[in-house]
Formats: sequence, structure tokens, C-alpha cells
Amino acid sequence: MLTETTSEKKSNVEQKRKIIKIGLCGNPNSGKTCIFNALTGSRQHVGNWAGVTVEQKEGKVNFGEYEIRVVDLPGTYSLTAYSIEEVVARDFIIKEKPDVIVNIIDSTNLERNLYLTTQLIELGAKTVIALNMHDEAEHKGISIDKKKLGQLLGMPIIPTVGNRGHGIRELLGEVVAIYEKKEPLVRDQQINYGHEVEEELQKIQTEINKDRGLLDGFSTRWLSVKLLERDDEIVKEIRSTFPNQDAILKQVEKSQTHIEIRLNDETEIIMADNRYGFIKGLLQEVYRHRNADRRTISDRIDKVMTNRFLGVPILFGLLWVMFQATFTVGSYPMEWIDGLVGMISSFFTNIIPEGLVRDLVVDGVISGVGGVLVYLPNILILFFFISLFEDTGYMARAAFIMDRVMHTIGLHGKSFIPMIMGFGCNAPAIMATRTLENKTDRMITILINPLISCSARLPVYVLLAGAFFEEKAGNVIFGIYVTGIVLAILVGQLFRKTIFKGEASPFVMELPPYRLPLLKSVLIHMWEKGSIFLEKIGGIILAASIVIWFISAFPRNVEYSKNYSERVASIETQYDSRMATLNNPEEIEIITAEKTSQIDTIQAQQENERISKSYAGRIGKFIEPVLRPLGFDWKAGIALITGIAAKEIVVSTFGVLYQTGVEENEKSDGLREAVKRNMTPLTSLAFMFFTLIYIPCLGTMGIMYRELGSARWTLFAVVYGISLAWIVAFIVYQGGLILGFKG
Amino acid sequence: MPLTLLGIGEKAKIVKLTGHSNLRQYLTELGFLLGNSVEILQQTFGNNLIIKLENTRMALDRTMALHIHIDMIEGGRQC
Repeated sequence: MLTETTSEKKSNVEQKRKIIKIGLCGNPNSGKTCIFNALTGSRQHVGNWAGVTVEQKEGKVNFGEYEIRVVDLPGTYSLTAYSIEEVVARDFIIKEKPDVIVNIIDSTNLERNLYLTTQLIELGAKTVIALNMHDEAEHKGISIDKKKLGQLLGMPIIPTVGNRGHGIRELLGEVVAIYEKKEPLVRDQQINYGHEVEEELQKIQTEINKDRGLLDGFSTRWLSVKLLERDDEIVKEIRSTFPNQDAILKQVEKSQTHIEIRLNDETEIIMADNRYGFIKGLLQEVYRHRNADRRTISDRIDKVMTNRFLGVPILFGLLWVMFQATFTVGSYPMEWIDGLVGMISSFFTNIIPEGLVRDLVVDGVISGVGGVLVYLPNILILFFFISLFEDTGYMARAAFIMDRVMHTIGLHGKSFIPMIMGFGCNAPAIMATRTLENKTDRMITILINPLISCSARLPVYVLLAGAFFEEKAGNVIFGIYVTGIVLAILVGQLFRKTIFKGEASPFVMELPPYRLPLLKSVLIHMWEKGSIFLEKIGGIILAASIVIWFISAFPRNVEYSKNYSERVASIETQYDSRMATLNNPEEIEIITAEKTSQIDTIQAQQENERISKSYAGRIGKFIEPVLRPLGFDWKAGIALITGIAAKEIVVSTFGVLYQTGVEENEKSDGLREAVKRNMTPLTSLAFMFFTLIYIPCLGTMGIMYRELGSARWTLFAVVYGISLAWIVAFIVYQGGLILGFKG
Repeated sequence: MPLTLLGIGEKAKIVKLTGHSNLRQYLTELGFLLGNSVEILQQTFGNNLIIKLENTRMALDRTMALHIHIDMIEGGRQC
């Protein structure tokens, strides 16, 4: 996007391009993602949540003779071992050794942002600072002496405005200058921790230096600082790699005791204070702030949005708008896609001769994949709103507003953010729990997240509620979402009272100023999340559709209980003889129609018997006894099993199982009608509840396993999900029967 | 006195952080530094607060606010 070379020389240049690897590092809300987008444009690769362990966003940009590879590190306030995100960012810097670090700093918030910078200084990372949102800072009356700050930090400083792309070119130029060691400002800097601490650091360093053989990538001073700060990860590192670990750790302990007696506070606090002392010193030299007291527009907006009376209604109003838009606005493009899928289907029906290949393409691939593709608009709209909440800064307010409610389940407001994100997709939502500091808070938040109905389950509801509840469909779907939320709250309470006893940890979080979202960045975020859905369609859903078609189409030769072709023949002869006596064309028409419908019924019976004797039928019949009390037939059972791979596949399975063998002219009335022939409103309701609760999809299970760090807890999530789903569906179905609904 | 006692529109300076060292370190990293100014912008029913901390806005609950001790600055504005 920045410097594309002319195409004729492109391949030549590409071969010679030097590769520079950079990491983007910065506080949450520092505009890191904007800078990342501005740097890489569309050339980025987002970690695939579904199972593959890519945690970082990566992108590329060509700049002159260089190819710059950009890794977006998680946003952190520090590089201690306090949260997983911090460990991820730190490990990347130490182990992957990027050539240059770009430290993104929010200019309106210099003091706190520089804390992370002090840690980069200590790591000895070659860093360029992007002084981001400097326009906003100027607007607020903040002035920063960039030249002087750069000199004091030993890092070049580039003012940027990420969302407008200002300063990006200069930033890249600086990255190259540092890489080529042509930047005179870069020098090693040290934080001075004061006499007492420095003396002890010396002693630890001496101890470490006695055996330098295993030192790799760590500076001795940095190791000593971290040891003194009681950094768990580094203590582990020392334990596993240093032969003289005992001596080192003993010295560390001695030093800590010494410092704590002398300075009368815990070592970690003293060290942090000194870092802030360093920052305060810097600020005194370079930072001026006029009219610091002014109330900002953001404050005025907050007066309304987080108002004690209005906050909750506004939040629910916005969520309501989100769901309404998802369904009503989404229904138009849905019809277009549906029409398109129908056209493609009949196109292939016409060009491929009748037989297995046509069945595979039309009944397997097109009904399976097409059946899910129609929900793309709904899913994109949902993600659009979630991105909008994040980009405007409203998400943090939602957490604040819901803090009290979340306390009833022993969690705090931050746990609400993964819950809203779960409406989109549970996998990134579970990853978002990393911002929770407390481990048990995090466990509970992860375990209840699958109860928040993700967009992949939406197709199931839209199909079933649309088929059976018509104009009340919207309310039914809203009810299912609410049920999910209520269950999440109840289950959370139960877990807090039984397995994870204790109080919620206290809540504090930054409220970033409201920002007018840029349509482009909201769209990029929407697309990042939505494209995962398309990848699923091309991958797992396509594969599953073919498999489902196969197991339902084979074996081809089944022994039928009745001789269907004989019956058809007998009907034909019967009608033919009757029609021979008729003259009136109207009568002939009526009788012909009667004949066709009778033959169709028999053929449908035959197809039904064939499919029930197919592989799919046999598997379905095997599990049917468990699902009978819920009112599900074996076809629904198969749909639930295949839905474990991805919930959208439930719909694909319906598409394949309910529509094969149905006459072409009937296919046009769609999957809805097909489903109507196979379920009642009551069973569809029980089925929707079961789908809501029963099991996280494979991708989510993968992420859960990674984030919980335990196969046992992941299994626990699966088992409690299935049990709860069965119980809820049982109550709905049997309760419905008692109330006199048709089962 | 703890931050919970500060009224809307009143200003104060942080004089002490209490609690476990992890918690204090976390607060420090967020910018709750001794000597930094705080001002209450909003209060909700559960006594959750939105405060102005130097130049940033922070949301916190009552429990967290109890860990932050402050001294009033003279001439705090009435609101």
C-alpha cells in the first residue's frame, strides 16, 4: 500500500528485499491496532481461532528495498508476569528477537504509557516510539518536547495519528534507520533504582555472571531486576537453566530482605516507584499541559451513557438495536443469497446428468454449504455492531454498567465484555478473558461463555423459528438468547458457590475517551471476524456436507420392506384405465394431478426408508433412544452430532437429510417446508434449546483447552453442557406435552 | 481517608495504596501513583465510581476504591 514497486521489476526486487521483523508494543487503548492497520493495510494475517495456536496478528509491508514483517503484540501496561498477555508479549521480545520494537504511546496519557517503555529500556530492545494521537493531545493543550524526550530515552520519536495514517512513512523510515544502525539517538539507557537497590542488583549480577554459559538473549541486569521483583517466570527460567541457581536465588532472597528492611516496603513496589520516579523526571523536562482541568466532551457523553438511571436501559436498548438490525436488515441480503444458491442449484441440476455426481454436487455440496452461506449477512451485521462497540470505547462502559449485576455471580464488570463478544463467536470471547487478573474469575468466565449464543447458532434459530413461529420468530430467538444469558448467570453462581469458592476480585479498568469510529476500521474489524465464518464454510462445513451426504446416500442397495416400484406401477395402470374413459380435459387434469401426488407419496416413503437404512440412519437410530424423551428423531440426532464440528453444520445437515429425494419442484419451497414436515413447533423449540446449550464447537473447545490449560476442565465444560442441554430440552418437551402441545 | 469518601466534583491526591503487593503493583501500573490527583466524576448505586485520574478516566468498584487512600485538596469544587 505504501511503496508498491512497478510490476516488471517486482519479482527481481522481491528476491533482494531485506527482511526486517518488528513487533508493535503498547498499552491497551493506545491506538496500536490503528497503527497496525495503517502499516499493513490489507496485507495481514489474523490468527485462526479455530484450533490453530496463532495468537498474534501478523502483516507485511514493503518499504524501499525492505520487506517489513509486523507482529501485533497484545496490549499491555507492563511486561511483568502479571497476566498471560504480558508474558506473551515479553516472550516474543526475548525469544523471537525482533529487529526493532515499535512502542506505541498514547500522547494524551504519557505518564502511564511510558511505564511500558521503561521496561523496554531494561530489556535493551531497539525501539522507536510512535507518539500516537498527538493531534488529540495538542487539542487538549498538551505539548511534548519530542526531541528532548528522544534524547532522554535513547529512542527516536515519531509523532503519529494512526487512524489517519499520519507519520506511518516516517515510522518505517526510522525502523530501517535503526535496523541499519544509522540512528544516532539509539543508545543503551538504564533506570536508576537508587543506591540501596543498585547495590543489591550488583551482587545478584555478580552471582549470575559466575556461569554465563547458558545466558541467551537475557541481559544480566534485566535478569537481576526481574529476580528482585519476584517474577515467577524468570525464577522458573533460572531454576531450569542455571547450574548455580541455588546460589543466585539465595542471593536474591538476601537482597530482598535487605532492601525491605532498609526501605520499609516491598521490593516490587520500590522498583515500580523508581521507574515512575524516572518517568516523572522525564515529564518535568518535556511535558506541558494547559487547561488540564477541563471537562472533555467524553466526560459529558459519560454523564448520560453511564448515568445511574439511564446506563442500564441504554445498554439494553443498544443490544436490542443490535439484534433487531441483525435480523431485519439481514433478511434482505439473505433473500438475495438464497435466490442465488437456488439458481446455482438448478444450473447444476441441468448440466450434470442424473446420477451420483449430481446428487453429490446438488444435494451434498450446494444444499450443505449454500444452506449456511445465506446467514453471512446476519453474522457480518452482528460483528459490525460488536466492532462498533469496541471502537467507540463503549465496551468499557458496558463493563462498568454491568459490574453490579456481574457481582451477583461473583464476577466483576470486565467479565461482561467476553459475554457480549460471545454473541459473535465464543472463541475470541474466551481469548478476551485474558484481561481478567484473577485466575478463578477467568475460569468461571470461560466455562460459562459457551452458554452465550454465538452467531454460528443463529442459522439454526432463524431456520427453525422462521419455519414454526413465523411473525413471532424474532421474539422466540430473543427468548433463546435471554435463556442463554440467564443460564450463564445461574451456572456462574453455582460454580462460584461450589467449585470456585470466594469473592470476586476488585474491579478497576480504564475508560478510554469516546472516539468517533472510522467506518474503515470498523469494517476491517468486522471483516477480520466475519471472514473466519467464510473460512469455515470453505473448510470444515464443505467437508462435513460431503461426509453427511455420503453417509446418508450409502449404501445404495437397501432391502425395502415393501415393493415400491410395483405399487407405483399398479397406480399407473389403475389411473390409466380410468382416464381412458374420460373426455373432459378439466377432469383429465384433476385426475392426473391426483395420480402424480399419489406416486410422489410412495416415492417419498421409499426414500425415507432408504435413508433410514443408510449409514447415517444407522448411527442416528443408535443414539435415538437417548434423544426420544426430547422428541428428536434420528435425523435431528445426526444434525446434533455433526454440529459439534461447527454449529452451522446443523443446518447443513438438515439441508442434506431432509431434502434428498424430495422432488425438484418441491425443493423450491425450501428447507423451511422440509423441516416443517419433520418437526413440530414443540420439538423445534426443544431442539433450539438443546443447540443453544449442548456443547462448544470444536474450535471453541480447542481455545478453551488452551486458555484453561487443562484437558480435564475442557472435558468438564463439555459434560456439563450436554447434561444441562438434555435437562432443559427434556423440561421444554415433556412440559409442552403435558400442557397439551403436539409432540 | 479512602477514596470512597470523596464526593462528586471533589478533588484529592493519592497518599497511600493498601492491599496485597500484586494489587498495589497493578494499581501503580494503571497510574494510581502517590501524589497523583483524583476527582470523582460519577457514582452509581453500588458506589461504583468513575474518576478522573490525572488525565485518564478510570472505572472502579467500591472494594478497589477502599484500597486507595487520599487527602483532600483545598478548594474542591461543589457540584
